[in-house]
Order: sequence, then C-alpha cells, then structure tokens
Amino acid sequence: MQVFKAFLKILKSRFPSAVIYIVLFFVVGMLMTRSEATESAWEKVQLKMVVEDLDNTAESRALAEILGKGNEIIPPLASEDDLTDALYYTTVDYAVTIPAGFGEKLAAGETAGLLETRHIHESYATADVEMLIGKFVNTYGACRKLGYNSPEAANEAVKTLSDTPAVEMLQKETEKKNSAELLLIFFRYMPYILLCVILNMLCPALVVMSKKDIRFRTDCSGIRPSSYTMQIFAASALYIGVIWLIFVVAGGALNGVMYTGRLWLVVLNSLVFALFTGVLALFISEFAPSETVVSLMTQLCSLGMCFLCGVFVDQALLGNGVLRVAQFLPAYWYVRLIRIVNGDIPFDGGEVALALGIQAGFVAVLVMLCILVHRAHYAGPARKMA
Amino acid sequence: MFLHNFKYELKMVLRQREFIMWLMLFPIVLGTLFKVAFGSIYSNNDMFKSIPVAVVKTSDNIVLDEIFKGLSEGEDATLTITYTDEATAREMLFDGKVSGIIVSGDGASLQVAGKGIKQSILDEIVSRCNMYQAVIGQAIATGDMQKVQDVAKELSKEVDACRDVSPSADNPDVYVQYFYNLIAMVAICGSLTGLHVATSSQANQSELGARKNCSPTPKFKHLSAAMLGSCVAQGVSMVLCVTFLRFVLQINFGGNLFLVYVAAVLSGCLGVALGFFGGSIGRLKYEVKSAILLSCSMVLCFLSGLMMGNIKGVLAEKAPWVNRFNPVAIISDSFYCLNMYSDYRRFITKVIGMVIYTIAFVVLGVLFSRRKKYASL
Repeated sequence: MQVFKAFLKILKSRFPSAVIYIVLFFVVGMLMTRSEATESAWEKVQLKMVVEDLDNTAESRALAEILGKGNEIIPPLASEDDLTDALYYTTVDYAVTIPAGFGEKLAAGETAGLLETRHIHESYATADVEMLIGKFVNTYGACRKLGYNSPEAANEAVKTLSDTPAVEMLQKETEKKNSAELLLIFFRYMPYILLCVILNMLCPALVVMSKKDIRFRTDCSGIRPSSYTMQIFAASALYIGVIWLIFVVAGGALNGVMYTGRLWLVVLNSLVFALFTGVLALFISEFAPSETVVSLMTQLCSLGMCFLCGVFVDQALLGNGVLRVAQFLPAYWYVRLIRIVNGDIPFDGGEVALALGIQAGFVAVLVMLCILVHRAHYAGPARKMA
Repeated sequence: MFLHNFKYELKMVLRQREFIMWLMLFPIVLGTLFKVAFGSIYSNNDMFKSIPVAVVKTSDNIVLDEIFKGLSEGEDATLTITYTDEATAREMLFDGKVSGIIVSGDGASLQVAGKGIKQSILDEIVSRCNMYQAVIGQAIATGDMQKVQDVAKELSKEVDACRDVSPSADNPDVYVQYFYNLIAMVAICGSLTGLHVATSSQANQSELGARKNCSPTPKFKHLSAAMLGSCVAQGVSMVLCVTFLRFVLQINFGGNLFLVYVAAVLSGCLGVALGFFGGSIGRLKYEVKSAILLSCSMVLCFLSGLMMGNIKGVLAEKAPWVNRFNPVAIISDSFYCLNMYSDYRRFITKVIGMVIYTIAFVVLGVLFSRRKKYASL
C-alpha cells in the first residue's frame, strides 16, 4: 500500500486549497439557492422602485401609493451614480421622480411628461411600471369626468386600482414541483465546484506520481504495474468519494431535506459526474502539465462547461443552438436530469436513463483515452530502455 | 545592467510557452463560449417584446374586445393574441407557446403556468380590463350617456406621462459585464507571472533565485527589471485579449476603446503586482503559493460577478465595501464606467484605485522579500 499512502500524502498536502473552494461553495451555494427559490402559489413579481415625491399633494401621494402596491419601494439612493449602478445591475428596476406641480398639471388635464423617470433596460419591468403609471392617469381622468374633484379623483383611482384579479396557477400533473427545490438548485451548481476541487487537487498529485524519476523508481521496485495502477485508482476514488460525500451530506443538511424517492437520482447523477471529473483529471494529468497550466485548464473547463451547459445560467434561457452544442458535454445531461427531477421537463424513465447513460459514456470514453495516451507515453521510454 | 536583466526577463517569460499559450487561449476560448451562450439572451429574453397570450371567450364583451384590439394592434403591440378554446389554450400554455390564458366573459380572469414578469404584465392588463368595466359601470349608473362616452374616451386615451431622463449607456446589455470580468480574470491570472518574479528572486525558492542573490547586481535592479519585463509581457497579452474580444467576437464594450486598452494594460500590471506580493510572503513552495493565489483570485472573480452577474449589485446593497476594495471588481468597474458614464470622473477613480493597489502590492512585496538571510542553500 506504499503507493496508496504516498498518493494520499500528496493529496493531503493540497487539501487546504480545496477547503477554500468548499467553504466558498457552501456560503455562495446557500445564497444562490435562497435567491432562486420560488413558491408554487401565484404572486406578482415585485419590482424594485425608487419613488421620489417632490410634489406632496393628494395626487402625487395617490400615485406613489399605487406604485408601491405589490412592489418594493426603495428609499432614494445617496447619489445619481449609485442609482445608475443600481439600474444597470437591476437591483432597482425603475426610478420615478414626481416633480413639484404634478398635482396641478394632472388636475388641469395634462397627461404628457408629468413625471421624470429613469431606467436603463427597455425591459418587461419597464413596460410593467409604465403601464401602471398610464393606468393611474387614465383612471384619474375618468374619475374626474365622473364628477369627482381632484383629490377625490386621486383617492377613487387608488381605490379602483387596488382591486386585483385572482390569478389561477395551472400545473400539469406531470409537472408537480418537487418540494426539495432548494436542494436541486444547490445540486445544479455542484459541477463547477466538483470540477474545481477535483481537477485542481487530483491533477497535480497525479502529475507528481508520474514524474519521470518517481515513475522509473517505482518501475524498478518489486511492485506490479497493475497493483500500482489499482492503488492510484483506489486513492483517487477515495478522494473523489470523500469530496462528493461532503457535498451530498452537507447539501441535505443545509437545505433540511432527506434524500427520498427521485432525489436519489440526483445523488446518483452527482456521483456519475464526480466520476467523470475524476477521469478527466486522470486524462489531463497524462499530459503532465505544470501546476499553473492545470489551474488555467481547470478554470477553462469548469467555467466553459458550466456557462455553456446551463449551470450558471438556466438552460431555459440559453438558445437552441447553444444547447445543441452543449449536448456534447456531460454537464448538459447533468443539469437536464436535475430539471427532469424538478419538474421543468416531464418525468420519463427513458430520459433519466439517457442522461445518466451519456454521462457514464463520457466516463468510459475518457477511461479508454487515458489508457491509450498512457500506453503511447510509456511505450516510448520503455522501448528506449530495452 | 537594468536593460540586460530586462531583456532576459522578457526572454524567460516568452520561453514559458505552455503558460503563455494557456494565458492567450483562456480569453479566446472562454470569450467565444460567453459569446455563444450570452450573445442573444439580452435581446431575446430581457428586452420587451409582445407577450403571446391565448384568449378564451366565454361570452361576448364589447369593452374587453376593444381593449384587446387596442393592445394587440400596431408595431409596438403589447400582446400577441390567439383566440381559441380552453383545451387548446391549456395545451399552448403548457407547451410554452403562450405566457397566459385570459378568460374573457362578463369580466376578465387570468390563468398562468408560472410566475414571472410576463405573467405580472398580463395580471396588470387583466386588472386594467376589470377596472375599465367597473369605471364604465359607474358612468352608466349615472344614466348620462355623454358622461359614459367621456369616461370611455378618458380610459382609452394614449398616455405618455413619463419624461425619460435615463442615464445614457453605450451598451446597456447587462451580459457584457461577463466580458469585463473575463478581462479582469485574465489580468488577475497574470499574478502567476508576478509569483514567478518573486520566487525567482528568492534564494530558498529557486536555483535562479540563489544565483541572483549571489550575483553582485543590486536586488532593486534585478527585481525592477523582472517586474517591468513581466508587466510588458502581461500588458501584451491583455492587449491581445481586448483585441480578440472587440474585433473578432465584436463585443461592444462601450466608451472610448483606447481607454479600454489603457485600463486592460493597467489591470495586467495590477495582476503581476498581486502575484509578486503573494509570492514574497512566507516560505511556502511555488506550487502551494500558486494554488492559494489562484483560489483567492477565483473568489475575488466570483465577488466581481464572473459566475453570477448580479452579485455586484447585491453586494452594492448589502456590503458596498466589498466592491470598493475588491481589485477584480475595480478592474471590471473601470470598463463599466467607460460604458455607462460619458464623463471620465469615475473611470479615473477606478484607474487611481488600480494604480494604488499596484504600488501597494509592489511596495509590500519588496518589504517582505528584502533583507532575507539563508542559513543554507
């Protein structure tokens, strides 16, 4: 077990930097899952608005009240720059300034350019707010025609617009959302961290083990090549298993969910992906890259695959062309299975088997490639020595 | 002597072909993937487009028909309406062909299969329909037909109450920030070059360092030459990175392109200085230091929005000091400021921030690496 022990010793020395990734993932993973969780009952999207009332009349207060209904009103920001930043990053969707004289103009029947508004994106949120403002002005005008005076018309408009219709949420029977949605979001982000932690730690350790001097010394020793390979595999599998187990156990614990029913498919899915990552590490290390190059390759593989396959950005948002390309990567099938279990795609045993099978296929192909590259590498020096 | 050292430092950097190749490949591959993934998200998903909706009529309602007609006509129509029966409407809803079903009878009601901004707008429209009916009902109750006509006219009047005083953005596409962060990440990856400078000048870290320490060249001279050489090499790779993104992938950074290059080169220097600082601390091996440096860089990149675009906005609300002090955020902000602000006030602030960080890292690196004694080499 000398090789096994030596390999674990090298891995152990690299564990502190893995801890940075693991801790970060838990903190960030929890933040992300909380921000993405949705509930199944109908709820209007709350827009974040900055409303500044410089008029302070019954009309302006009525408009501010209407804008605040079902939306989140954010106090005016410290500076114009802060507001611009907030509008760009959509932490504020829309900013409305009700200028002095708004009430008078409205009472006089003016409707054009009554408010100063700020937004960056010509988005649905912008359309929604402008529709709401238009609705208020129209209702106020109609109330005036009904004979109300200006403050009464403003109050009447608020009363009329406060009635919201009941919205019915329809769901297909096959699309019942899983109660463990938080856990599934947590699992969706897992490929990135598995790729980072496993590739960054396993590759350099494997490269050290296959350094020429160490390799030749091992070859000269009494240890059989098959035993050497098995010990390396066992140590790698142990490391991958520990990392995977940490995430699976912590995922359940942090989200307060017990693994039952279809959730075991997600666990199996993550295990297959962890195996793929391990084999990918083996494959990369066959080329004996330097540690720096391993780090860059890791970031390239992990970020590239995760962006393209819908780990960071929902697959539903990615275009069909992108998804067609992503199908040639295992992370796509990993995310797809999570979407199936989550109910975003109708559950189908065949689809689940396909997603798992393709990932397993990637593992098999990479194993074969590893063997091929390994033989090609070591056949040369062996022949020369002979 | 300085020029001699500078020349050899450049040669050394250029001979690290594998590293240089990956550093160049990094923005090319990731930039291309970003372009493929985000190229059309903003225009397809974020920009307002007519919302597809199915209308199921259970009875005739002239008021609602008129409202739907008004909303679905013209070039900038709010709705794209399909009139159909309930079963087909449901099928269309579940297939994602429509965002909601409006049931039109005595009043209007909405059925949706999910929650989102499109559904919220539909909710707004349905509430508007019901409000129209209620107000017109009040007018009818007065028995004055002129009043009914006036109210109906007032309700259907086109209103343009908003005077837009929005800040101008050269490119409002929020996904362009992923490219800003990609440039920032390439710059921070330059820390590995800086780390190399630090380790190759320490006698206990490399053979080259031992030789340099034995030579009669003053440490300041060979260190400054090495730093300058690395900054030049990193600067070139930053220029190539921006050129590829701008001219091959056609990414519109917004603002003055020359200043984008200036910011990119400066950020490369900041990356080198960070690596030099990291490499000068402690006696850990090069490999361990590079692993720690890259892990920390990735954390900084995450906080700057490389993996989650809106994190910077969230941090601006919850912990604004993170954006203020995170060097990666400062780098990506410099590009953002060029895009969003027509004056260079904030851009200059960010550039000053980068310069301060660069000087601070170099000074600290020098302080940590000077006057070292080695018992045995």
